Amino acid sequence: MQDSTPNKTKSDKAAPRVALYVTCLVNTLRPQIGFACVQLIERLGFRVEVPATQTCCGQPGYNGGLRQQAMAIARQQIALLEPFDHVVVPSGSCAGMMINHYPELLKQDLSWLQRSQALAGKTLELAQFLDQHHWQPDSPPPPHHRRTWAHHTSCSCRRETRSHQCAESMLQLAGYELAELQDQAVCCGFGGSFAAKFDALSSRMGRNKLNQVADCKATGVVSADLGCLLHLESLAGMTGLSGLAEKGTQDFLHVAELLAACQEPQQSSSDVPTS
Amino acid sequence: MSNSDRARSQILNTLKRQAKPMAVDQPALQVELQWGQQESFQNQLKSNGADCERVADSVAALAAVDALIKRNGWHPLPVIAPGLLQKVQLANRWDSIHTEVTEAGTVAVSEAYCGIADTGSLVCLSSPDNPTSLNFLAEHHVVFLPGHRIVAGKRDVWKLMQAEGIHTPRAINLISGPSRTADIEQTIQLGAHGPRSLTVFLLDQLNP
Amino acid sequence: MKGPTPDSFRANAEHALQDATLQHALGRAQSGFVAKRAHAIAMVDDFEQLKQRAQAAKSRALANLAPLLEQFEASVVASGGQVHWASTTGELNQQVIDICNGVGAHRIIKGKSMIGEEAGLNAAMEHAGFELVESDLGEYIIQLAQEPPSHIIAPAIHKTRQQVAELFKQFHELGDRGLTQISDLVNEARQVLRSAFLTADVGITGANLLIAENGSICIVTNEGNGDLSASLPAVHIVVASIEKVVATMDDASDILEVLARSATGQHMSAYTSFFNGPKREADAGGPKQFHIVLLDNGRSDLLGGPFESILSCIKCGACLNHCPVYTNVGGHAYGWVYPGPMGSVLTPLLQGLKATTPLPNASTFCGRCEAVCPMGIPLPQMLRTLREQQHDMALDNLPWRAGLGFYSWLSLHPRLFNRFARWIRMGLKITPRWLWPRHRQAVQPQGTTTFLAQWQHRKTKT
Repeated sequence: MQDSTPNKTKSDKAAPRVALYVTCLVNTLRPQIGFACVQLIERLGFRVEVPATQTCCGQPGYNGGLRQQAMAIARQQIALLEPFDHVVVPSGSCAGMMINHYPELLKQDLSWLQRSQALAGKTLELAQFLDQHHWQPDSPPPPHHRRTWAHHTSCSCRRETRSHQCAESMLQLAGYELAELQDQAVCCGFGGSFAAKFDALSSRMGRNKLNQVADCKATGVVSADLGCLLHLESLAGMTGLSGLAEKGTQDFLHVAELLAACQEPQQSSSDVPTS
Repeated sequence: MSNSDRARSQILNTLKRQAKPMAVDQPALQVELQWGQQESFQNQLKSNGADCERVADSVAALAAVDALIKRNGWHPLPVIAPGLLQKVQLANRWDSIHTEVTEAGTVAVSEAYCGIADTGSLVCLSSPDNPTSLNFLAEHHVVFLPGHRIVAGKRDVWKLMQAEGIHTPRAINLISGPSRTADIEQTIQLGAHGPRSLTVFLLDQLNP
Repeated sequence: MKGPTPDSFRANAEHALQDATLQHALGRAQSGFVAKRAHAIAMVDDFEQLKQRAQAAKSRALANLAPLLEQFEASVVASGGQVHWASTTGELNQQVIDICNGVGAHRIIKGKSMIGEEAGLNAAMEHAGFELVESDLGEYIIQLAQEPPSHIIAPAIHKTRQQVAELFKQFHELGDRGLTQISDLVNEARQVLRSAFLTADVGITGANLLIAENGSICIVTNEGNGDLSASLPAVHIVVASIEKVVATMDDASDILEVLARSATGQHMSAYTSFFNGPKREADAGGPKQFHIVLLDNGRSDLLGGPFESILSCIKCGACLNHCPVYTNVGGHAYGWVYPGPMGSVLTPLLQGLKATTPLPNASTFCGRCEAVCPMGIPLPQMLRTLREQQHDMALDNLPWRAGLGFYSWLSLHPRLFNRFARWIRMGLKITPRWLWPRHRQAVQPQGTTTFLAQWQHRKTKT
């Protein structure tokens, strides 16, 4: 960061190559999280590439009992991602799928098992990657993000990638004020297809979480998993949490968005090209 | 062939067919019997809701039982385990010996085989000298335990029994506090079915 | 009236969410159990090591289940007891009834037993004309209410003190006595049950562990009801499932180290007792006959298969207490005797996948059950395997089956996948409000198009 040319490695072909696996939710619904990730990783001196044929990690099918299909998807993603030095995923859920479940899925086939283990060895959840490579903020949180945040540690960050403390320390490092959220280890009720199959139950679990957010006087929720955020956001409009903050700001943000907001904008592949 | 025999061979055959032969790691053998600390035993027992007091001998312990009875208005005559009766000197403290353990307010006095320091548990072995019912039927339970007979953990109890040549009795009761329940609204209440109170006297020696 | 079944889980759960009394009771229970367990574990030096020892003891037992059961049987017989075997719950009930008839028994006192619940033993005994009283306070309460347990270690966790007072008013001769305090209620039950203990002909208990080396059975309680049931009547019958057997007293000790800590957050329950055979000749008290009925009910088939480790379950209830689904809906929603994560695995295995389809699906895979399980049972992975079996048997519902199949297929076709993602964005923007669940606000896509499309666009421009 003391370096006067922070972008020195950006065009350096020798810089380690990071594959950004944005996840299907970010890709489809919150593309700006993807760009925030690119900014954050590039700042650390890595060459960020976004493999264009990435799709979904296969978790919906895997958790829905479609093992064969999930195995095919796992093999395809492994083949796509294994040439890179690192794979970064802005989701504990999808990262956990690759790290823990690809080897489980492919355990019967020695060669694929080894490839899946090799991939697992270089795959990290975003906050974990930033933490390991000593990410530093450039500036304090911008005014529209200056409020008390409740950090919802997703169950997959907590128990699959075990990286929930990385997000916490990165957010604190960036100067964000985090509230003491009670029962942080308790699930928000998303659970992928669970939310659709057991809507009433899932909603109750989500509202319990939102009530605790309100109890700790937080006015925004930050998480490393977009699934949880969207689930909570869709319920919040109906519980009165939404709208506590100033107009024009968002209440449910990804860790990447809050961290990228503390980084000087720079000309990079992630910026909108001026024509 | 009875139904039980038929079920027996069916179950065992299935198990033998299904079992995956695997090398089973044997636990590392802890060779020596480990003795435990009196202090840790006392602290654990108290945190379980029992009282525990160190006294010089059984004479002092019986005097303390008498004082407990008078202070709390319990049944004036305690029920004393036969084994204990033979060993201690009642010194005419009570005129008669009470046997009706189920009567209201009765205190039963029995003897523990040893204590477990890790968990503050008393080990009571059933025998003609120390009937199990004394541990459960009286409203208040007093236990005498020689202070030097406290082992570290549960495994040490079995080692001690083996070393002393004691065969498995009908009942081994590990008692770690008074009877309690939290079945109504998760609120702890003492004296569910068994004793409402448990008082342990750690004896420096049995008789003066 | 037909009660809730595993198959109606979804409706049961929705019903439970609307039950204010139940929600009140569940809220209190959850925080209590979780905090007590956390405290007990923080008090020991190395709980992980205790867990490993307990798991090792259990692995040794499961690897040698048949020889250990034979050794256990021989040890019981050597100490003067009798062993009976039952393949099915019906056989178990019949054997218990036969033993009771054989000794001319009429009044039965019973300690808490999940195997008894699994077999429907109470109903079978009552049908056969016996007078049976449950002695665990929680079990006694639900016996009066004619309900199944809603928690494996706190069967009446769903009842408030007012509901218990109502039951006692209905079934006891209270006269003008009003029971308002919890202590009044506990004392009332103590009085009533004390006479049941003293007059019973037979005591029936479960067992937490069976010890092969000496033929002892281990019962863990806080109330002391198991000990009274095992000690006062002239006949003691133990009902237990086959996977409860361990090799030695040392192995049993290692499992006991994690049981109470995980269950109630105590280092040890008030009473952990080992019973061995009938009373010795010189003993003043104790039963003259000692019987053990061993139940299989499909467990032997689980050995050596993908679900073997569910046989390691020691029924501590930690997975229930930490489950976000259980703590919101309670035990009755699961429709049978085993609720929560361990129930969602065990119930389908014992009752068949067809009648229990919702249970393996009623999980967010949050993984907390596995994290707190002292026996290291991979509960989420087992639920996933059950879902795979459901899928193979075409038990999952058709729209889901088709939807997940289509999405998985798309995931293998990147160009179509990305086009589909853009359609989804468009679809979400034009979906009318009324198509969304009423209590949710519509999720709106942000930005101009998908991330991948934007990225490609920028790459080609630069």
